[in-house]
Amino acid sequence: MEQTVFYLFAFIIIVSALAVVSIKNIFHCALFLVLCLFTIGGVFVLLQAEFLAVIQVLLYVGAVAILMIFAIMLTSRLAGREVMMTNEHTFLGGFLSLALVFILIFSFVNTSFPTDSRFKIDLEGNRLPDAASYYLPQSGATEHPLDAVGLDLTGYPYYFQIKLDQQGSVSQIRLLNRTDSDDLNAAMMAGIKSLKFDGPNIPADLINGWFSYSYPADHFSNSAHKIGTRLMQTFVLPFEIVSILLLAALIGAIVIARREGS
Amino acid sequence: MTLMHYLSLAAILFGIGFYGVLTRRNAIAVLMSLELMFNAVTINLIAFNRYVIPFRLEEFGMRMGFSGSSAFMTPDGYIGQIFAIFVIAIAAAEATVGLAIVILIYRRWRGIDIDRVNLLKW
Repeated sequence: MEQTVFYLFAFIIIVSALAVVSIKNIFHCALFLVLCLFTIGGVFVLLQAEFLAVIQVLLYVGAVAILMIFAIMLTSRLAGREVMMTNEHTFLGGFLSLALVFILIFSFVNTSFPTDSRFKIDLEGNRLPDAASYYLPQSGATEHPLDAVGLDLTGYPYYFQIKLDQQGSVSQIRLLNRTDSDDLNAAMMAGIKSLKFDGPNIPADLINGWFSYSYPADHFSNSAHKIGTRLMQTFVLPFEIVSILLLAALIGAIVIARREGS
Repeated sequence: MTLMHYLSLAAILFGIGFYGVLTRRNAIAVLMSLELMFNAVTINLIAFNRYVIPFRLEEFGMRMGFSGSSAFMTPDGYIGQIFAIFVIAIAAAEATVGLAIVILIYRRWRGIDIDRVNLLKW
């Protein structure tokens, strides 16, 4: 379901963005820009950033796009002469942007982000070949949870509690506190305690395999409250700087666009 | 859905916006393509915020000398969204000033063809 919605949104975004950069009529371009920005707000909802989605609709669709349309109305004579919309570098520009897209995709496909802070856990005690290592004191007991230490790809330790079922395969893995200062880690781990596995057949994938974790489903709920608290506490200095910047942009726009002598 | 899907979407959107900036002659169309690029960056920020779990902030905060309960160190997972808010605000400021400049260009040259605005070109 989520995948279907994502691909639908991605299709709308890409098609309308292509329309924005290729249609002759500048007014239709602005309308496609509105569609594109609105759908990007939908992608924000998919990413569980509801507050950002509302901001996107209010600011981009409501303010920036309307500003664009106003500027189009003010500057282009709609019934006037036909203006060439693209310059003579269409082929070169297309080649450069395709190259840029390929470089971007190549670079982030070949990067291991901390999202796949993936761990290799070997329940049979074999030494793992690459940087991820492990430690298992005992394997075999099913009642008592096994503890494991996994190092991620950069060598940072994570502590796990592993439970086995009767057949000796992994039934549950929990991320535990990693260091001695428990109160710190309790705050650190709030909401990140549950692990989610990729793939339907969890135990078979898990033994000697990679797994990854993610935020629980309700982690990003009530985001406006948390973002507001953050903006007023940790990020209050950038917040004030941005407000001064907005004031400067307001005054600058008025000064630039004002007619001389008035 | 994984992080790669969103990064791919943002990369394609960024490339389309880049193409528009390179090839459009209408100044307002150039500004609209810039908005596409800004939105690609915002998608990136929010996708990283959603999928990258910032465990490393603890270690970073210890190196920076923050103590246990500093607000800087608790990675509740909203830093990317806050930076996205800053990006949106700065994009709004950019659009305002840019459109004011476009109107000025229109008054000066009776048109908004970017290729004719070459006073600063050597």
